[in-house]
Amino acid sequence: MSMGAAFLFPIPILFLAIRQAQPFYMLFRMVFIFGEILFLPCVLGILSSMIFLPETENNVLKNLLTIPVSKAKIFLSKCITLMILSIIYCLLELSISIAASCFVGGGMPLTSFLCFSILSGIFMFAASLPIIIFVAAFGENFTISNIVSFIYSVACFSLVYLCLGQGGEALLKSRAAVLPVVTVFKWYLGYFPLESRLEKYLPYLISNAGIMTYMLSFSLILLSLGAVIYQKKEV
Amino acid sequence: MNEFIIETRHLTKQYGTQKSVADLNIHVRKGRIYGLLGRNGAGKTTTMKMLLSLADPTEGEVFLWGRPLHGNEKKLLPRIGSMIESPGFYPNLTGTENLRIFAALRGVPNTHAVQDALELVGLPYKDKKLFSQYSLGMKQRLAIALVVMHDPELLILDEPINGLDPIGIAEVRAFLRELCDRKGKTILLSSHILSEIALLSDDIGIIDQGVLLEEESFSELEKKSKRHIHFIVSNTAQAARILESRFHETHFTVQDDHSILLYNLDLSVGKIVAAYVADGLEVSEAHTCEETLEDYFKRVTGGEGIA
Repeated sequence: MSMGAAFLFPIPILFLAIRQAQPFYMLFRMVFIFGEILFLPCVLGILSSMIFLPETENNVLKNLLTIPVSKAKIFLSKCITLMILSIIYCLLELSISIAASCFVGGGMPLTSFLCFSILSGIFMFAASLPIIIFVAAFGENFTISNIVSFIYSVACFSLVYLCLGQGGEALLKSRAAVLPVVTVFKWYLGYFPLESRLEKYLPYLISNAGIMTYMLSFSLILLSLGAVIYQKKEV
Repeated sequence: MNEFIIETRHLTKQYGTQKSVADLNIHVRKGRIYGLLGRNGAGKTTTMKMLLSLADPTEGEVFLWGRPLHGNEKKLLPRIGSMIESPGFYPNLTGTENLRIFAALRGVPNTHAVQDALELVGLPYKDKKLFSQYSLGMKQRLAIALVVMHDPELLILDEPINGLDPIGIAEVRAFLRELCDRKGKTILLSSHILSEIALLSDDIGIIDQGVLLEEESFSELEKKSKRHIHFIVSNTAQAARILESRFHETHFTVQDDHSILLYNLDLSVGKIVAAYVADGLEVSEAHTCEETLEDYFKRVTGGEGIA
């Protein structure tokens, strides 16, 4: 059901794109902003609670740990599952957008979009790691975990929204620019051709190699930290 | 070779300022059933969790088969079958599916292991009933099936008869006894039900507020608990000193200012009374008492709470 959210945004945005006669990449950009920046962290938070909490709630974790399976391995394997689900979510969004592409104009270099979807899935997973770790290490029940996931998601979207607003440049110059979701936004801006009104963001764009290095370092630190915290959690 | 399958040395677990287990030294011998008896919240489950590396001790060490558990978990834990607190399985899978997952994770080579384990506890192999639809007794049986599926040498069972009906309890009891007697398995089980421990255990550890109060073989405890001599004297402190200095006896309990219980029935009551009187003590009563095992445990743990 959570993954079904991938289909949620492309449809209303399609109507908007048709109405404003926008090309495919503009439709896809909007799908990315709403579907991935706003929704994906929340979807990953909910999926985390679905993946991490039942084993604790149903006492299965104790049986697994006495096999023995290390908690770090359990944590990392679940995180890899979440990363795969994140990529699938992004590919689902791309597929529904492609299905919608027959209604809008503009060229569509499929390989480029495919690459973007896979990379954005990985990067948004990395950007959602704080909420995933929170749910894994401190989540006690579904309600609280899902509320915190929703708050985190809204906070991510608000940051990106502020970047696009009037004081956006100031925000991109500030320390907040190093936050993973802002970094993903800077990479996203540079991935597709920039319209003239967005050219002011050119100095802040980040290359593929740049974001990969950043996200790899960020993920390694957070995954190690998460594994240590999860290891210390008593069952 | 170490004679103990489980040995703990000064095992302590502290949560904040509260000591859940304090300086615990238990010794479980090979091929014996060891019953850890204590009230609810006495520290039984925490102890078992530490024995399975599910909780880290604040102090002390756990030795299994003479080797420290810490650092040897991968080698030692596969030799154990355990059930801690309530049975834990995936609710949306059947019992067979659940066992298959754990058999695969444990790398159980016997392809019939799941079926054999289910048959052993009287659960159907080809059943579409999900674990969430199981009764408490069925859940408990499935948990026992999981414990024995990989043919472990040591079984650690936390309250194994919880939720079972009287026939189920008798079946599990007979089953555990058989595992121990015929297959030479070592079993550590915990319970707050005295009769259960009494019916099943070869050795007993009595735990209260995290402290091990007694550790004896069941036959020794029975001897201890059966009889004692009850003296009512004018001054128990003086009476205790006489027992220690003249009779070299320390196996007694001072109940209050006038009451003292002596557990060594080999001593002559007449000689003790004569010694008391010679030292100026007034002895108003001296009689032999029978004490049930339950009375004994209540006295040792200092109150009610063990059924």
